[in-house]
Amino acid sequence: MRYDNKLLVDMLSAEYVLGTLKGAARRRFEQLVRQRSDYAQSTVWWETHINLLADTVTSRSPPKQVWLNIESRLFGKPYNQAPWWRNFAFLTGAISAAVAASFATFLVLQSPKDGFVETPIAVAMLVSAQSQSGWHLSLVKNVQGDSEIRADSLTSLEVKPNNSFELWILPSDKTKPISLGLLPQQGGKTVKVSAKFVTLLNTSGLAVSLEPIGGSPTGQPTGAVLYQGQLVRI
Amino acid sequence: MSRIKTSEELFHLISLSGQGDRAAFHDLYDETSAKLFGLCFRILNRRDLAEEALQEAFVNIWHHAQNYRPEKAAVMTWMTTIVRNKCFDLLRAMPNESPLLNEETYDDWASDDLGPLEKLTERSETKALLNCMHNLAPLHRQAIALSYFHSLSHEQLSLQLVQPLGTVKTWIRRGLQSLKACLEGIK
Repeated sequence: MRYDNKLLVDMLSAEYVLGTLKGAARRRFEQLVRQRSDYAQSTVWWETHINLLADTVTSRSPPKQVWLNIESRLFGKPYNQAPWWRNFAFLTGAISAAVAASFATFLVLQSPKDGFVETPIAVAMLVSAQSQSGWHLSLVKNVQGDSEIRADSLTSLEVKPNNSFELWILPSDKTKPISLGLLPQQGGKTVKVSAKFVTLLNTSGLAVSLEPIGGSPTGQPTGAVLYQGQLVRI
Repeated sequence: MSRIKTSEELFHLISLSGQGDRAAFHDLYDETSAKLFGLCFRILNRRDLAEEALQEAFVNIWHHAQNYRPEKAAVMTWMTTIVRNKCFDLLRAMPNESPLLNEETYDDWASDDLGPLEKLTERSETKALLNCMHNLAPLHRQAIALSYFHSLSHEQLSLQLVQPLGTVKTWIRRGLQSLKACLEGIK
């Protein structure tokens, strides 16, 4: 190949940055960039200019949860031991029968991970208008001291393969619903919840809406609300 | 909306992030995440995957902030490259679901009125690029935009645009040459 041809250098760099240069040709090009300054310079020019295409997209605010996940993955949080009275309260059985039944489900569904089971702070059943149970939720503190909601789909859930189910906090002051993310249609899933939302959850309802695959495109519920519930402290 | 940060301000934030300054990193995220999340959404067309890509990309950005070299790329260019690569990783992981299927026409730049697109940016470099894209032959422009946002190979482009492989290669090459001539002419 005529690697010194100026136009060729330019076009290879452009197609490298654009992404149409693939496979072995791409790897060969990366080697040339490391060895030769004309290739390196040309690549910088195209990276600077072609990537301006990214600036032409419509901005969208990511959900707060994304930052919380980044923060928790990078910096973690100090470990807070659950206060002893929480376990005590649970053991004395000062809880309603419904919640006890619900918690029994939790114990069955939750297999011990790394040799410990975290104690839930609150639990909820998400139930349809026809009284079909869809998910069991439990709010727990993980070993880092962060709050998480464990969602376990139940066998009675009516699966919708062409949609996603999205979980929302419905604040009691009637402000906009806040997304807690997508619920699994089989098995379980854990989502982190910021401390601010934990407080909000004490007084808020929960709702599940039917959304396109991947969740609501607008950040607000767009489909029918099929399941509802409320976290109950235990 | 607040004024967008200049590239010097972003450089300041990334330098501090490279030294372990978490508050600066948070500012950098606040400043850039909406545009970058928009890019993820454009590429992946699914909110859950877009969130995952953005999260993974920012974890990378924190870890590599100290390796950032201003002479190689502006901060936004550098971050865009990381985010775009992360989106393409996720795209490759779901080979059976092409986000392209839902997309009918692609050519936002074909419109005679660039007004709505121009409002999306305050950067004069982007406005120059938009104008130069607008001046390309529509099919050249479309081939370039499809490759950029969907990581398509020449072969995939030829299938998508229902054109012989050679034709698609020519469109891309001519399009890129005209784009460069136009951008250099503006300076």
